[in-house]
Amino acid sequence: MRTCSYKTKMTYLRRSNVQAKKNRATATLIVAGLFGVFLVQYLFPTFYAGLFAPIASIAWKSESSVLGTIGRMGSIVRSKYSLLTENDSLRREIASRDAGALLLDGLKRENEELKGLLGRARTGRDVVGLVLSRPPVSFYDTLIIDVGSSDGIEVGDKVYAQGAILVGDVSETFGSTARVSLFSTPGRTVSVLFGSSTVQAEAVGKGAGNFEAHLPVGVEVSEGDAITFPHLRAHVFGIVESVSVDASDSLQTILFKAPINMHQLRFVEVETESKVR
Amino acid sequence: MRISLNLALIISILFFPWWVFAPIMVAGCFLVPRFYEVFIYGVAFDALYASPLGLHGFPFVWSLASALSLALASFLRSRLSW
Repeated sequence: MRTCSYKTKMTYLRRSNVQAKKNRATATLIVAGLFGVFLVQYLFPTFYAGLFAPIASIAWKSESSVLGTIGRMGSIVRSKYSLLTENDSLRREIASRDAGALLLDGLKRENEELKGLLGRARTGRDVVGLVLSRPPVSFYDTLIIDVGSSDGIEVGDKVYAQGAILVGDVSETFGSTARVSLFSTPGRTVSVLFGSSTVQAEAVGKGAGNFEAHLPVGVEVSEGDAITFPHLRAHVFGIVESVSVDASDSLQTILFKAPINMHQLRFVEVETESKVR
Repeated sequence: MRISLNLALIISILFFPWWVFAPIMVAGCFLVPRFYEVFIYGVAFDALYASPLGLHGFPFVWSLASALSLALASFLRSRLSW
């Protein structure tokens, strides 16, 4: 008996490798390009900043002048009556603050004189800078100010708001602009002094002027206490907002914030030659 | 579409909060084919605003975010009928 077997042959279209190869080459090229960009940024951190900052500063400066003009136009349009009312209330507020301000001025002068007698007088000067960009435009809790190396600003100079609130330090300078890194940058650790007891502790930045610190439960800290930075110039760093104690923990958690809204900063003072404490 | 998204990204980097920039960036990656320039905007954002301390020590958040969203958008676009 004869048996027959039929084998069926299937014919497949051969897939072209050309497209796959092309895709792989493009992907490799892109990854290499990305790696190159990151490498340049890592090795030369100011390279891209030096490239983009001059262009951006033109836009920022024109924006602030445009906003200034609009603001002036708005103030002209405002009614006379509302201006009179506002003027009256401001006069009253100024009068109430005058006595306190006089006392404060006297104390400041006395403080400087005493430091001078002890050979620790300030040698630096303050340079006022207009804030061109601030959080939340800046994701990294940094400020861009319109004074730079041409105005004598150097990396490490301390930056104050309203004359006495320490907010950050200069992290990079360009010709006519500088970048200020706020102390509250998320993850940044700062050594601060708590209240009149001046207990020193590490505070961690939480962004937008907020901080968190941990102290032993025995240390007395209460809401409203002032926080300072170990620095010669009289200043305020923050105000304690809340103190929470967990019965099972030997540490208390202190949340404090800068006494100014970082989102509304318009001017800052840069203390030049402030690196020597 | 491409030009308007580019303009929107430039303006949002300079004048608007970061949470305006982020959705435009992602939308651009999905709406425009081969929107490679978004990576330049990511690098520019980091170059303009990041201090060496960065965010929790990482100063390339937006460079990385733009590269990832570009890769994700390319991947999804190739597998979806658009």
